Amino acid sequence: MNEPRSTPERRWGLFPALHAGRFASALRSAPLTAAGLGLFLFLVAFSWLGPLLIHTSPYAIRPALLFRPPSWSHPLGTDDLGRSFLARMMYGGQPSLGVAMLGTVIAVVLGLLYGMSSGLSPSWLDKVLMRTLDAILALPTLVLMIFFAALVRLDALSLILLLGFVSWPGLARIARNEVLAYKQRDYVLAARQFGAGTGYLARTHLLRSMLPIVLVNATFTVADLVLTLAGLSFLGLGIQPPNPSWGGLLGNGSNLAIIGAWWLILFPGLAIVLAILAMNMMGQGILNRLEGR
Amino acid sequence: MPASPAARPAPTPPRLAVEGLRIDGRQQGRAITVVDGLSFELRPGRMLALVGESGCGKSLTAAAILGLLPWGFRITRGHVLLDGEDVLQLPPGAWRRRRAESMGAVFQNPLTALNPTLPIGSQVVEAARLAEQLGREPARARAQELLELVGVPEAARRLDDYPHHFSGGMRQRVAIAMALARNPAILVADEPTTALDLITQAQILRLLNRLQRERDLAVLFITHDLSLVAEYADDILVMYAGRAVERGEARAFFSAPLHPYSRALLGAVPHPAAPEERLTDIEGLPPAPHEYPPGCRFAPRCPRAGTVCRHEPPPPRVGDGSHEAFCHHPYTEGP
Repeated sequence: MNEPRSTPERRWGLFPALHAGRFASALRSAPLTAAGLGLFLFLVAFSWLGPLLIHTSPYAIRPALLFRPPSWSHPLGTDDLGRSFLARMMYGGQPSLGVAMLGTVIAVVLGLLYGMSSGLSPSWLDKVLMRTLDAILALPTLVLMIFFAALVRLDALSLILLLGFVSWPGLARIARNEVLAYKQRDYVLAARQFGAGTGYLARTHLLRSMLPIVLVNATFTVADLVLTLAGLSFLGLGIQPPNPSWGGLLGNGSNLAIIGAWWLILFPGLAIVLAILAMNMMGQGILNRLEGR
Repeated sequence: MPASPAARPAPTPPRLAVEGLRIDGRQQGRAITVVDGLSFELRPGRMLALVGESGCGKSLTAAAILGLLPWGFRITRGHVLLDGEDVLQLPPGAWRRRRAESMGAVFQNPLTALNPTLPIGSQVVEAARLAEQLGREPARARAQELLELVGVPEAARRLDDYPHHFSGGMRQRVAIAMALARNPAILVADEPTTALDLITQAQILRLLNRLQRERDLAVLFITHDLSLVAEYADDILVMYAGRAVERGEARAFFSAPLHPYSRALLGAVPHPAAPEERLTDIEGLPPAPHEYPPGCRFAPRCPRAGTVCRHEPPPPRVGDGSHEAFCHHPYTEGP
């Protein structure tokens, strides 16, 4: 029997931790994940709870207040149209984080469906599905998205779908490898012997076993999508003005920074970096636990 | 099988009878026959030890009975009779249900026997939950009962523990409990003690022996270690290169093994009465399935092989009436 891909015993210490009540102590023993989670929750609170606190419209144009640097009355300054940059940063976080997270959800669902189906198929079908996946992976993502952006006007929903559709292949490959690693395990054989169907095996045994590694890759995917979305918006293909997004604000600010409005690139740039950092810290923290480091 | 000597009572009908089993598969693009013409019977309250080296087809035989043959392997000939009914003739769904209700299985590796992501209490009753609606409390009670049956200490307290909280031997006990959840008539144990230390091996064997007597289980115990089963097996089937070479009652087998291969296997084990005696080994390696020789498959390594052995597959030779060997030149006297 071929031994499944190496799975250090210690990685399973994670599972009791997923039960309510032990979550806090699990986070204490994984400081990197805890820090990443904290940073991420801060950015989420900034984007969704922040607007409730400041009562300032991100769209209100104030010709008397153009290009004000950060001060007590305008904490993050104002932009070229006198709009509150704090409000624009807060509202801009919603599409940047929301689209990335929901896009990841779609990518994870599609990736799991495709990858697990492939791993559970007879070997000839598995080969066909994996070669197809290779072909899909060979397509350059950004070029593909610029192509779609030229075809349709992108709003938040279509961006979610688009980003989800371009990021699932990597997750599909991981899911398929995990299925191959686990489907010959004795407990899966035992369950088959008890008369369990493929659906039951996939749900109860395989999905549970691959949860940690999928979680890790999902956090990395969110980080990727934050960056991809920022790139698209920077190029003017993502969220369309006047709606703010961090990438769009950065793109707009890059033209204005040369005349001294440094805050218009510092804050959106910082937000994007922090969001990516937060997700990578979370993912790496879980990965460290899995590999027993 | 020949008639048993008069000393024994009439045997109970077998729970499971395998007749002329042949398993074909593909390996690196070559068609191979991994098991050929294998027959045996499992009777209630008795343990059949299926003994052979790695790669002789014993695990595939178990997989075939359990319906767990890997992709590419098929039963191409023979019958599997479950309580007299040929289950290979049943539609796949019906066979699956019959297997699930009448057989339990324990596998080799205690590290992968249990799902590391589930508490053991819920795993032990998995088979029962797959078969019937089982509420939370009845399931816990059943799980506790099963764990107590296999001798897990403080079972009630350990239901919510995860597999990594258990030692290898304890996990194998849990795996046995899991296999017994639906009260099967047949237990298939595929090298369940190979990964355990000697003391734990003995404990697991004693546990299996007790369960076999208490529950009238028919046990198929697969192993490469003849000395391990010497004490507990009722019947022995020795396999070599996909075929049976010797089979029969354990007592008769151990007192006078007929086949040179069986003798060689026994000669490689230290004897408690003469521990300083020199052990013998068998020259060479077993052949791979695509290069099985035409005659007796053991002939290339056999000290007694003659010309006939290299050309003619050996017929069954009856020993003292309770066991037989497939050999042209069997030993006739005791060891």
